[in-house]
Parts: sequence; C-alpha cells; structure tokens
Amino acid sequence: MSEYKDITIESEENDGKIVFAEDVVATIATLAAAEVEGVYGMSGTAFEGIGEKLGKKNYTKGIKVEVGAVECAVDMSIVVRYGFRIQEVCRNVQNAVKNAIETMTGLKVVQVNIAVNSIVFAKEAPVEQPKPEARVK
Amino acid sequence: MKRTVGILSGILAFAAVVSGVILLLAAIGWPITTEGLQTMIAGSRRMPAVLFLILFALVCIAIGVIVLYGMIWNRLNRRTTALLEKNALGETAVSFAALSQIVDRTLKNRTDVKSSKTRVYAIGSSVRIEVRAVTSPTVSLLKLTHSLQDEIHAAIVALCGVSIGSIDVTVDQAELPPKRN
Repeated sequence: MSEYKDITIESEENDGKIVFAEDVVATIATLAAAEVEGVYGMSGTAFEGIGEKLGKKNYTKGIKVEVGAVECAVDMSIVVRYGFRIQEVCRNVQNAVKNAIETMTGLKVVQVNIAVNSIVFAKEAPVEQPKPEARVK
Repeated sequence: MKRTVGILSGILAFAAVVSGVILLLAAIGWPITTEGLQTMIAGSRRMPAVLFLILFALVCIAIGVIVLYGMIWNRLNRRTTALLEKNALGETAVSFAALSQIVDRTLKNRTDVKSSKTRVYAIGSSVRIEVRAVTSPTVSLLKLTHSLQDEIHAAIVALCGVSIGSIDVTVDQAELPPKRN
C-alpha cells in the first residue's frame, strides 16, 4: 500500500480546509493524459505491471506527483502510438495535465516532465481469406 | 566486445570476493574452535604466513566489492533517455528503447533486410545508433548502408526530433541456400 499523503488547501472563504489525497492528483493527470491523441497509456514499473495482470487497476501507474501548499510538479512515463510526432504529443500532454490539475484542484502546476518509455504499433488487421465458392448448389 | 569485457569483469570481481572469503575462513581455521585459536596464537612461526593470507584475502574482497559496486552504480545511473525539449512547463524525453523500436520498425518495412539488431547509446547530448543488419548476397552493400542511414535518420527526425550523433550500420550478407538439382 502506498503512503497516503494529503494535500491541504486553506479555504479563504470559509474557516475550513480542503484536503486532497496525493493519488487524486495523480489520477487526474493520468486521465487527462490518456485523452490526448497519440497517447496509448502510462508506462509503469514491473511491480505495477504484475498488479495489473492480477486484475488490480492502477490509475497512478507511471506517474509521480510532488505537491506543496499551492504548487505541484508531475513526472510521467507514457507510451505513444507509432506514427504520431512524439514532441507534439508530449506538448499536448503537458498542456492537458496542467489544465486538468489547475482546474480541478486549484493547484498551480509548475512542472510536467514526460518520458516516452516505449512505442506501440497498431496491430495489422488479419488478412481475410476468400471463402471458397461452393461447387454445387 | 564492450559487453563481453563487462561480463568478464563482473565474473572476476565476484570470484575475487568469493576467493577472498574462502581464504579468510581458511586462514582463521573455520569452523573456529578453541583449539584452532590456541594453535594459531601459540604457533608464532605460522603467524606471519597467516597474517599475510588474511591481508591478501581482505584485499581481494575489497577490490571485488569496489569493482562490483562501481559496475552496479554505473548500471543504475546509466543514461537511458534522450532529451527532446525543454520548455516552460518542463522537460520531455524519449527512452533509448523507444528509439530502438522506431529503428526496428523502419528496417522491418524493408524487403532487402532479413533481420537486424539495434543499439542506442548516449554521446554527450546526442545519441549514437548502431545497427547490425543481415541481407542477401545479391544486394549492393554500399547502396544498402547509405539507404539505411538516410531512412533511419529521416524516421527518427520525423517522429522524435532527437539530435543524432551518428548512425553506424554493419551489414552481414547471408549465404544463399545451395541449389538443389
């Protein structure tokens, strides 16, 4: 089990606190990155891969979030689809993650570092064999 | 060659540690018994030889551990990504494994290359790509190598924009199967 780290934001309007779990920010970033065209998914460690094989969904795979009181930084490892220009995909991911986190949590995103760990190729469609014509009706 | 030297160094370092431990145990007469200790202390003529053996064993262990530690540290801190861009939001990088996949895919699409192996290294801020390809004897090697370099360079630049230091291509020609009469 990972450490449960909370992000606490003091609310100026009411005398209360807004608390975010660190994993929440990571999940927001993961979902934002997954929606970018050209991104196949996140690239995690071997242990995370084993956990996924056992059926445990992990929305924080391949992502590390560092949070402060008002700012946060994100390090991500992604898998890109072949054929897409990697620099453009990475720029789009950076913008998407920044917008998503700032909109949903109010934290200022100072850094989004991305490492492309691997490339996935589209599976070639199987060649359909023509059905032999019947000799007799 | 480099890999072979690395593997041999690792084996020698491990062997040095193991031999050092065995020598040390032999020197102190393991399993240690009180009789063994008394004999060692009492046998003043044997002391210099025993001390020399212990010292030699400790030196072997130290050298082996230092070499192994250096190899492991280098392995863990080896650069495995190439920087793509540094902008206001942060850094983007691509792994050497991903670059290898792009090169392999480029070569796979060619009909004149039967098989290939790719390795990517870091050289300063650039990358060096080594390709070993196998082709048939009927193919012109000079044309093939130039063509491979151009195609790999174009693919990497189009998809990544990574700074390429050099693309080294080694081509082996496979022999044609013997004609059957």
